[in-house]
Amino acid sequence: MTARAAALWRALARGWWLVAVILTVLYPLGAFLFHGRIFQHVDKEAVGNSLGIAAAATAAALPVGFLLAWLSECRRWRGRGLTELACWLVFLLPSYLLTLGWQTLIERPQWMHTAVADAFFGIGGIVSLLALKGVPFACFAGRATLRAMGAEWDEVAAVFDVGRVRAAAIAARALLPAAAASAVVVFAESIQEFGIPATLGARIHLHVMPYDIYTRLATTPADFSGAAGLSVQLAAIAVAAATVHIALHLRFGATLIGARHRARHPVCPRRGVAAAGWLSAAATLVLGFVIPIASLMHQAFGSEPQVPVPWSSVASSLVYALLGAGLTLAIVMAMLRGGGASRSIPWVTIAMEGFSLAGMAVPGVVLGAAYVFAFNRGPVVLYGTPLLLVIAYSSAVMPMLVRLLRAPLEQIHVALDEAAVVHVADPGRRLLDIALPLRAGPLLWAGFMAFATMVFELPISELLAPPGRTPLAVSIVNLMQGMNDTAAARLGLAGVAVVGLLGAGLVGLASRRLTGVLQPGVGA
Amino acid sequence: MRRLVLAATLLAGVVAGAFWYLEPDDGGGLVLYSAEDYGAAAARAFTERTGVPVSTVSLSTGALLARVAAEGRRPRWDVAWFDGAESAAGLAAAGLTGRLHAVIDWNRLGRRLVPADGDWLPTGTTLAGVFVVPAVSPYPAPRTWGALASWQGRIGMSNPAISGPAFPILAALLEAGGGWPAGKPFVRGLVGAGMRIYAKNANTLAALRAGEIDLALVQSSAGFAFARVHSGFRVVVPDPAVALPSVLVIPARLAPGKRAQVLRFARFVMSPLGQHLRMRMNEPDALYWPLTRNVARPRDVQGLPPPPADLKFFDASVWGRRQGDMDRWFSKLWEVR
Repeated sequence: MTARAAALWRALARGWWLVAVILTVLYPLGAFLFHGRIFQHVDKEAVGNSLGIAAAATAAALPVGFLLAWLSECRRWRGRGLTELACWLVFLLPSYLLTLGWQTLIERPQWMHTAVADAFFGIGGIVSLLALKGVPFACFAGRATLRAMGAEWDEVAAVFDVGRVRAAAIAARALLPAAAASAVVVFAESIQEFGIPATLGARIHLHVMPYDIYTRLATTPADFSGAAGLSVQLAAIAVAAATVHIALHLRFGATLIGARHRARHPVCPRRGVAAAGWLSAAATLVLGFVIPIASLMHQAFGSEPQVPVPWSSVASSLVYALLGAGLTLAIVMAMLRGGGASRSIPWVTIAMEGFSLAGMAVPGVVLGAAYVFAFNRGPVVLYGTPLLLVIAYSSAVMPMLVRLLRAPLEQIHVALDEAAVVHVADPGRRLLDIALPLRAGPLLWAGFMAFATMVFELPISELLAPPGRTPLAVSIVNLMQGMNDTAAARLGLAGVAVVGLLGAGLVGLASRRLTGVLQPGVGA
Repeated sequence: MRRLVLAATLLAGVVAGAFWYLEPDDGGGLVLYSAEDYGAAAARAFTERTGVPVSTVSLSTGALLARVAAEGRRPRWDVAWFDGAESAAGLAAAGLTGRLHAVIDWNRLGRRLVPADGDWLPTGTTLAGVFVVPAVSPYPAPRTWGALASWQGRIGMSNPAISGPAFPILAALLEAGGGWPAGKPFVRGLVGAGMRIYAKNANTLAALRAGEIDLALVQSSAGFAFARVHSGFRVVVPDPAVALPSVLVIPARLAPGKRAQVLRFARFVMSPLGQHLRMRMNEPDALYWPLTRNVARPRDVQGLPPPPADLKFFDASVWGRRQGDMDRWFSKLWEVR
């Protein structure tokens, strides 16, 4: 091998992730969004409603999620297990099943004429459900960042005996980047949500941006250009939120540098704070999982389904999601490794922030349409194949994983890998015995998160599902459309149960082989 | 290094096996995009009878139309099946669909619904809108679209921008007021009088059941299916009743071999055997009126009343062109309330 060929090989080995990101995310989305009427009329009402609802959901989810994250990471608190259970179960339940569960309950005649029903089928219900879905995101994002913080600020405050107010101000300043990270994730997730506002907001005819995008795509003739333009506006809002976050990160980010050098020795929280934590975790679990699941179970087993339940779609989605999660982890790991090497360059940080948040704000239906446009022509036609659906799932989840894995993976000191290179000649041993075990915790946790998201993914599945292997979400929605709610509820519950069992199995495996492996940020 | 090679081989094997499992086995057969409840079952029966494999993608109407439009002139489907001649006319106007002429033994209703240009093939018809009301109500149920304006009860319907089959209801309301745009004041009056809007038929009917509204304006198949399960409600067919056919369309420039297979499929689903199979499906879409002679609903499935004698047919190509404008106008109407 010549020197030039060797250099090319090394460059490819280091930069393949960039090619993958360009081909699977930037190229299809860029081509589709560029095609859009970016400077079209801005629907002020839709923009205002979307901003207002996302901000309200963020404001409601953030205190709960961040409190749970702080108690779990920075305090010795016995509610940590309940928090993990609540967050994972609420995260697992897709928004359309959460909505169906609550809707089935509230639409009962005894509830329908109450103030609860009036509030539920309006802004209150929309914000509440979005906030419930936001709590796990706020908690996961907060924990990933808090985990990377040391105890220096607490210790400095204690040493200098600065008083309660000043100590609280110092703590707030130290926590600001983590809180901002949680906030922007919840905001980006909320602003692109279509199902909850479209279902609950129909009665008050609430206009939100994803609703307008969907309408333009589903009306004949479809207005792809208009939908693309609206998506750019939506992504621009997320980028603006990312900018605020980056500004806070750059201004207060010093709190994170070097913080790993001193381990935290958490103390017990005050009784009132602990009680608030217990209440928050219990409320999240009950409102975000127990009640909707109970309602769905009543629906599922209250009568016999009128049609056969398409169980095979559960298996199809599990396989799609397994492949998608593996691909996403490989790309994100390589990406963060490459980005980590350049972490001293500010634009790399900014580019990754922008990529992850703008990506999270792009609705799935837009990503799906972009994929049809990009891969139904040209030299490589992948449309209609399972591979394209797997790649699209990966592109959809990649921004979230970049955001959630960045802090824990970048905290692994580069010296550990360097030591491996010095002491272990065999690259296979280096990868399997050193590099992967070091990262096993966050990778397992993030991989399962990606897997669970993909199993229940809806809009991309509707546009890209290959013939013959119908994904789970598409089957559920088809059953709901045919008013077969019993079959839909049974299928949805089966999906939740299978994914939950797999998650429980993972926890069991991890607790034997790795300590605390399913905690965000652990393993760093 | 050996472990790495072993791990990589194992991983490659798992990935290859997964893709082998997922790979669609169309075997040169048809790809059917279906928004009809009975689409997949009809396709399976067709394959059993003819040996022609059919891979079905079951979708909601909105997603199906978005997918067909996004694929544009490089379609990956051979035949699509959904409710609404207006949408089919919109696809034809955009040059996305071809012409399909099949020799079918049409009945009188069928002959009126078959378009002369062959842009779509009707496979059965429902009604665009029926009035579902409580069996016992303080307000006598309205009999005509026009009577809705002076009716005292609360009315609800689905959002045409989200629920595909709701667009013909909006068209029927506008037509009752004099057409487009003359019918705007009529619809505006209904909205002003407190008409409620819901996401989909299921939500509208749930509101009716809960007593939040006194009349649900829904597609007849959804209305009859609801009344069949909930005995406290009945269906009133308005005068005039407006036809909402289910249609088959094919992509433009379909290869002759595929076209022949689609024609076989069309003849099968319109045959007595194919239609009995569709009618036996225990789902709302099965509650349609046949468009062919010598086909009646099987005795062991719940019947439908005879189709209205004075069934009205909209010019699908005219109303299809207006769909986008009308949906947007309707949305704006709610915004300014």
